[in-house]
Amino acid sequence: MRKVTATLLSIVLLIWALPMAALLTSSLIQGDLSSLLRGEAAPSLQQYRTLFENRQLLIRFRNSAVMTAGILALQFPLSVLGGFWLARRKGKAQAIMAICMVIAMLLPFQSVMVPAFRLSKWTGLYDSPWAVILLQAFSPLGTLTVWFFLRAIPEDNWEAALLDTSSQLRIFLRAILPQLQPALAVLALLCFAEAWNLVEQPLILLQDEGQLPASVSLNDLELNGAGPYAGAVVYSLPILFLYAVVGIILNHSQADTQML
Amino acid sequence: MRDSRPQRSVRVAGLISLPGFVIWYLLPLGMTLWYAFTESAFDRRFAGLKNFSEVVGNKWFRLGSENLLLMGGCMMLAGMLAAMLLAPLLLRHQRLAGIGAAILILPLLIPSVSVVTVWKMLFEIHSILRPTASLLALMTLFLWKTAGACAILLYTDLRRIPREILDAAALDGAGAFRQYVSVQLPLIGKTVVLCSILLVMFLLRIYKESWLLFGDAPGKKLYLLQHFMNQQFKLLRFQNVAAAASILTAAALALYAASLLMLHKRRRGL
Repeated sequence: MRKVTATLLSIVLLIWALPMAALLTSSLIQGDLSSLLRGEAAPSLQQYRTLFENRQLLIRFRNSAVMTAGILALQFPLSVLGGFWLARRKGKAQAIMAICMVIAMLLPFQSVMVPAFRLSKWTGLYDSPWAVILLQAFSPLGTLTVWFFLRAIPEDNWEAALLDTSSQLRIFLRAILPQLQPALAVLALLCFAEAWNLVEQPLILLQDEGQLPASVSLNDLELNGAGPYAGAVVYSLPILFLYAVVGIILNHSQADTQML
Repeated sequence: MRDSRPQRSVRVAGLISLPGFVIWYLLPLGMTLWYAFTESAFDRRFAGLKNFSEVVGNKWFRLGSENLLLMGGCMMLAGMLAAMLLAPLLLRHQRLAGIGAAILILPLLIPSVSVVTVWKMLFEIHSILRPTASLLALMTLFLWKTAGACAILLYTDLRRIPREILDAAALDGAGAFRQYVSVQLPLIGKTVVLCSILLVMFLLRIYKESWLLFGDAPGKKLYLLQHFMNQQFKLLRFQNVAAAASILTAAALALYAASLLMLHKRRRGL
């Protein structure tokens, strides 16, 4: 029985890994996967070469990188502060705000699409990367992540540190934040994955196609004559890298690796 | 311990971090509701339920919401079932769980645009399935993307159940299946509800993949409520978008509330 289930699980995991394996394989051959199955395709790096010569596509990658960097630079500190506020002031305002944030996180972008569009017009940010950066940087996912982890820290830790200093913020920065390493790693991974994968927001808030990130336009045929597989692989690499780094951090901290 | 100084830094943290959220998310949510009840973007008179009746009467709105409900229901059931089947397998073979977690969670994190490339390719090879291919493509994509992460969530919670409880159940003659259904699953009820909430959330975001795969006009089978909203948005009928968004928001909130209620009942029952 044990052997049967082990085989079953391995098969399921193999199937689950298949799409990623297929993507990697087809990025490394000339032609597509069906020609490989017929034995006609030869391995080559041609796709990657064309990719790095395609200026248009590289600009999209740069747009993605700029946007993601801007979002992370804002969202990361804001999330830490917001989570700190949610966890340390225990009044009605916090309870209401926490509920609002959860609701906002659960709703699709279409729920706020029109006001977000008009807000960006009104503030003059429309058609600039800042419109997307601000919208995404204020999304509640990060704050809720930090709050979730902070709630797991026992009250005693705060009280003990309160004997040394009277500033909650100082306690937070000196005593609590170091314990939060795994939380911050997860926070970075989630924020990055979200920011790297924006589709609807740029489509609504940006008009100029040259400003779109690669997460929207990687598949455009006119951009990507040589076969989109290399682009898709390269665009996934930062996520894979970050996932590996976060995994290492989580393993190092003795904290329960419950999240990942 | 609650003198004013320690509290002040907390308040400052809130003052720095919250306005952005309030302005870019909370306010727009309220504005959506307000737009839904006004005549037009320029004529701010109260319009009653006019926008709603117009939207509900629109056949594309009906098609979109029917598809969303139908497809959503199927996807949620399939996703939940897959996660529930995968989790005990992982629990049984914890040696595979480490690599398993990576394989199962990465689909959720990898950019949709990369994923969609693969799906296009896979479904072009199996062109035999053509007529139903698009529906199948989206459903398998959803399963692949979300069920794994849910399985991992369930698995981590299953792992916390003390061995003794299961041994006791085994002494009473419960087989592995019976143990799972009657002992383990009820014990992790909270996480099951959390998973269903996450699945609804992912479901409402499947439009991203759908748009990348099929564009603005995916055909009648895959036409979702979000397609309707984007179409109306392009026609500058903001009031209709707002009305549809309000309906979608209300429906989503009702679903979440129902799940939370289930959770609450469950907690009281135990």
